[in-house]
Amino acid sequence: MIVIDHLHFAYPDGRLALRDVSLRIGRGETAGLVGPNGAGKSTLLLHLNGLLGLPRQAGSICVDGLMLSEESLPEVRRRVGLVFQDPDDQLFSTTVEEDVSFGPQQLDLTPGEVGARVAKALAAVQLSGFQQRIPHHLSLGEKKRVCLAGVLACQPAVLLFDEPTADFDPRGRREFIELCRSLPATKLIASHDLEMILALCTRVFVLDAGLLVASGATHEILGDEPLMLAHGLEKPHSLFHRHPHGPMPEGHH
Amino acid sequence: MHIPDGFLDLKTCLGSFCVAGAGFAIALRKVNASCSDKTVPLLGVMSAFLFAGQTVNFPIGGGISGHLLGSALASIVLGPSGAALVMATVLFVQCLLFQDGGITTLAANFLNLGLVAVGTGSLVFRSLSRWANGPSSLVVPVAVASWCSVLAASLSCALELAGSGTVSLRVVLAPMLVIHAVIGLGEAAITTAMITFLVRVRPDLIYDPAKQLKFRPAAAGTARSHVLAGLAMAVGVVLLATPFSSPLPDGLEALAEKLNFQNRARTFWPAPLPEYSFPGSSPEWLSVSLAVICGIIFTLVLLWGFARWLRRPRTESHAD
Amino acid sequence: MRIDGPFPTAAKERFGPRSPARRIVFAFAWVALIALLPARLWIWQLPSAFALIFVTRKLGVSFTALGKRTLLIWPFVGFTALGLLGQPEWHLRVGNLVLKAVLSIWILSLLTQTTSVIELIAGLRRLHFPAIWVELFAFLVRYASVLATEWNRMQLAREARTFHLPSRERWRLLAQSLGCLFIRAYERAERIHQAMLARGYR
Repeated sequence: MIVIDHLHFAYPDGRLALRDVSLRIGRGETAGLVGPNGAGKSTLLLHLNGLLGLPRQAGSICVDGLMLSEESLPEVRRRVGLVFQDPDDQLFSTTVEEDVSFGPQQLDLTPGEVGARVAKALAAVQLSGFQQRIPHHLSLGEKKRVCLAGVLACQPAVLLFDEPTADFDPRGRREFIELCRSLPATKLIASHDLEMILALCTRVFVLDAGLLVASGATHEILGDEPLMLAHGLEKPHSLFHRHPHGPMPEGHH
Repeated sequence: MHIPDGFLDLKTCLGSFCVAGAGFAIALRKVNASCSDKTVPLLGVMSAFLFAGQTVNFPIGGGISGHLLGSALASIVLGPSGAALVMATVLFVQCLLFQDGGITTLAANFLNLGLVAVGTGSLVFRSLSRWANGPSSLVVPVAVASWCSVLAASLSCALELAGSGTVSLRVVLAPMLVIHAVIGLGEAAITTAMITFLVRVRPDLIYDPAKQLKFRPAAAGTARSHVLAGLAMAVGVVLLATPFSSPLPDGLEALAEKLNFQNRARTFWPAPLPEYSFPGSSPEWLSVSLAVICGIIFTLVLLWGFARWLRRPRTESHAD
Repeated sequence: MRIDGPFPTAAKERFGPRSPARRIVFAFAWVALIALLPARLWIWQLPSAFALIFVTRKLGVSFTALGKRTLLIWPFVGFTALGLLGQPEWHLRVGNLVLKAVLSIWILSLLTQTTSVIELIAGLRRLHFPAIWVELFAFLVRYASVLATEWNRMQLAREARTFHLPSRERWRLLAQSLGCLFIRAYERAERIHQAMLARGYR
């Protein structure tokens, strides 16, 4: 579904953000992207949507069978939905309805279809009836869910999340995990919330200073304490102890 | 410096509307050419910034506080066209939601703060910064540009008030300029401090005309819209300049003089109401303006016909 | 040095035309009528004034709130009045200016009291105001409050670490904070642009 080959990227000011990154994610898979601050996680996500220009120096990106190029860009963006970290970046309209319908309106749908998609997307994030609310007056968790609805309304085949749980309270976080499980799309989640990664992802990639340092099954990678510590991460607690609420992870020792 | 409703008469409102509309259209075209899909988010957030920045008060001393006008600041960081659009948005919101400045005077306010102040600020800054080398040498150009922009805006505000016959130019000009020369000092200080900070932290954000020169080829229909903008501009200038057409020292006195001819004029131009003879709304300006506008239109038609005639043989020879 | 929070939003009681577009046209036309009426016909402003008192009563808007709205014009009025002192018929002309300015502000504040910002934007779209202008208007309304919140947070954080400042330092700090706010605003604009592109904006 997502194939990245030897991707290099440097910001215009010369800062090297990604170095020779190659990864593959299968259809319907949920993958995690972890790493310390400034490792290049957000940069990688932006790349998958073609938002930082096309791969310039070297490398290629292929999403859903489409090679990223000038011609395929609109189609790739249609198929890939990206949920930004700061909800205020994404919610630029004056009402929730206007904002959620922004994506579908770009798809040449009839107003009726757009309305139906908005209602469906808002129902999916449990915010039905929020159509006329003003984004600025929502709580942070609600804003985040509206952002998700805005992306879901485009019905993308691939969902990219940048720190999705950072603003949620514990209940919101649990609900987000449930919601995420119910979505059939291929998902790539960049986060420091390793417990959430553990709960959702089958595979995980570790990024540090623009390099892909490790990849593999979630329990193996996250359970590898020396590896985690070497890259500014920690082994999740639920891998140390049996958690009273959750199922026992397989890599437990 | 936001002129409230009721301070300007019909001809000044109409005149400034024409000039401001043409200026807005030209600025929009330029911005669209340099950053088409980024225009709305970038200028939208920048106008929010300027709006927020204008509500920040800073102490001047003696319990008085001032606030930023921001025209020069915007023109230095966004370029003249972007700054004009941002000022237009800010003024519209201030007028509609906060009743700061009027609806009928919106175009005049935009003319002062959006076109005159931004244009002056950008011109002064660009001509002075040519000799600047290094961040610290930008202090003088920025300070002078922002001071001049405030002064230019107040000058055009005074001219509009005088042209409307609200106050006489001789009375309003000196106090207006003196007050704004002082306000301009505050503006210069805060703008300079901000720009030197920006140059140190994010020099790439300062507008650089050299970088913006990759204009796309102009879209179809440009010629017609250029003619339209030019025409609107000309009509507006005529309307605004009519009261000053007589020797400059005092617009109102000139108008009062014209008032004496009012009785004669009325036989040609029956006023709808007998009292309809206040200087600001005397039909005198209308007849003068109409005559000049007709002249302009006539000249333009002639020019257009001449251009057609010039072009015709060339296209024919091209086709052969 | 605080910035006001979000814009007025809730529409209170309805009176007059239902659709926001019609209300905008009505208000603008009324303001134009008042503002452009020749000074000698000032007596004709009285019907407008009585009508406004009636409408204000009907809407239950407080007169003190409306009075506060007019605060902004008084320096300007005072300045012009000083310029007019001693001129022939100066009292008529000053009185006329004050009357016009106050009545126009009154109308516009009644419009914003009865019409929320969202309705205003919808109305402006309906009236075919230049599309880009309405878009920028909507953006300003949306992000002015975000930036205001950000600014107030920055000021709080700064005040928490500030004990005593000479006034020159205060100026420099203020300008630097404004610079910071500008950089944040600019970066936010870039992220918004990316977020719009990510959802298929062309």
